Amino acid sequence: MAQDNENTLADGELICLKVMNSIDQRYATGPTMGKWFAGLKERKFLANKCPQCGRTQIPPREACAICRVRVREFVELGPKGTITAWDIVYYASPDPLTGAVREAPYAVLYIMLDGATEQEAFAMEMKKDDIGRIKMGSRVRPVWAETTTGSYKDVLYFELDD
Amino acid sequence: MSRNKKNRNTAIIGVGQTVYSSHREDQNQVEMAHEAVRNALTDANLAIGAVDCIVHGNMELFEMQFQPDLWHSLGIGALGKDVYRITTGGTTGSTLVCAADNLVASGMYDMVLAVGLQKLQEGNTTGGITNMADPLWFRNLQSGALSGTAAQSMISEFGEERARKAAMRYRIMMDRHAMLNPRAHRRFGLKYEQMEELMESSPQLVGELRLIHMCSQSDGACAILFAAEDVAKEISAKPVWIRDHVEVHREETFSNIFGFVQPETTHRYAARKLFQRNGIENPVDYFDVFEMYDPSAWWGAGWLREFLLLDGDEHLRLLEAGEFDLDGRLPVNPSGGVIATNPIGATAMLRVAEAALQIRGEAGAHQVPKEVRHALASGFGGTYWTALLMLEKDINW
Repeated sequence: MAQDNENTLADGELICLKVMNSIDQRYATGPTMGKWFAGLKERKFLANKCPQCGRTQIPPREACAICRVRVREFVELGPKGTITAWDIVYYASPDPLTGAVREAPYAVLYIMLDGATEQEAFAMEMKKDDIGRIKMGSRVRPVWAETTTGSYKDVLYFELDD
Repeated sequence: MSRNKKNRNTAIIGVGQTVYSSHREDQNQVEMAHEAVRNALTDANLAIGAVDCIVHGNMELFEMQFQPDLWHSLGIGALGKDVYRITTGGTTGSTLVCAADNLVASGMYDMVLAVGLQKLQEGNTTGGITNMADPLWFRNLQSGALSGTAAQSMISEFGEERARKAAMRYRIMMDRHAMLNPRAHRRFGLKYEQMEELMESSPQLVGELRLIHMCSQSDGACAILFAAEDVAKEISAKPVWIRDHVEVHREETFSNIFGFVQPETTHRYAARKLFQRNGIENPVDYFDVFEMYDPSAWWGAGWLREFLLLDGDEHLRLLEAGEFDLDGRLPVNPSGGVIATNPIGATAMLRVAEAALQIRGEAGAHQVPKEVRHALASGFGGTYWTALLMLEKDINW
């Protein structure tokens, strides 16, 4: 330890390096999430429905973790829904997919799409102009990209359904 | 699902911590780990040769260094020993303790050293945490560990005034405790009279979650030495016993806790399961101290209800009456908690380390001013995971 004797590096220079990394990534959807993205391309929210408990999993998963059974049936939810919770983010967080600093504020909504079972909320960004008017229980509708490709970018955001 | 009783009891026989700070630039990661390990060994009056197995805990994504267990091996004394690495987000520190407990209780090793460490200033924690969701779906919406939903639900349940005051009271209570702990990272000297002022002046991060409510980003390490019952009784003057622990995970999504109906929290589920199998009927009266993983004042204030199996506003009434203060009925986080000190790979381990020091009566200025026989410690991380541990002064359960 540093205080042991005089020949330590206690008086040495401390160096700090700053580095910015950029990493390419591939990520397989698997068939169940593949169906979800195919649905987005058609401007549809496709959940899958557990044959045992009946809950609508969104985004869909291969099996129901509670019943431990395979889930094969797909059902279309929404497209409109009801706000149950939200986060208005004021601090300038990094966009995890690009590393760019996000424009704040932005809002993430938790939405119960029409037809979803009672616990299965869904998360999506809110239209910036509507952030000041978010309320519990407000009705919202999706705004789709002009061209859909089967990606998270197909839904631009949700807006108030006034 | 069956669960067998322990093959033999596990004791904590040594605790070592570093000083925590936002920038430990006076030492590198290896040296920082070594500081905690050295302190734990000194505390137990042992040398590294006595240790059979080492469990290493760190979130490599946060410092962006792959294989930290390899690069830290000199600091943790791993050369020639069995080493395991644990990396479970916020729960890393408590998972380290649960793993060490299992490794000793199983009979595999007589003495295990667990080391948790993090240097959050060397990477980008929020950048790391936002990488947790599926990159094809939901990662784009990630804002890291920050969320305003806890504030929102407490406000909608108890009204804006009471909820905001409760969160700020909790925050100031943590700072008052941290002021008594010389190792704690953030120590502001806040007073209860400042509640109203802080509620308005602190900048908003997400919704009503303000900068003052949120936990710190710290550098630091913690090490704990575990021994089997017969060994501990022979070499330790004040062994602290790990009575039981539980670890709870949930599904790989978190939007489904925000539906019309909300599922039981993992905290309440963990507490219910742990207390039931140990015959604890009233946790508020049974435990003498609770070191809780509290990532923000809103979560801390709200989670007391879950962990202590309370209903309605019981937790707020206890908080408002000062019953969670250092001299209250059930002191919560005498150390200052996660809000004061948060070196992630070590954070949940500090809860156990501090709870053990309280049982030994050796916590220092933040020692609970009554005898501590039973302690509760929690860990939290990921998409709402919970670890919960019970520590005892005596083997009499």
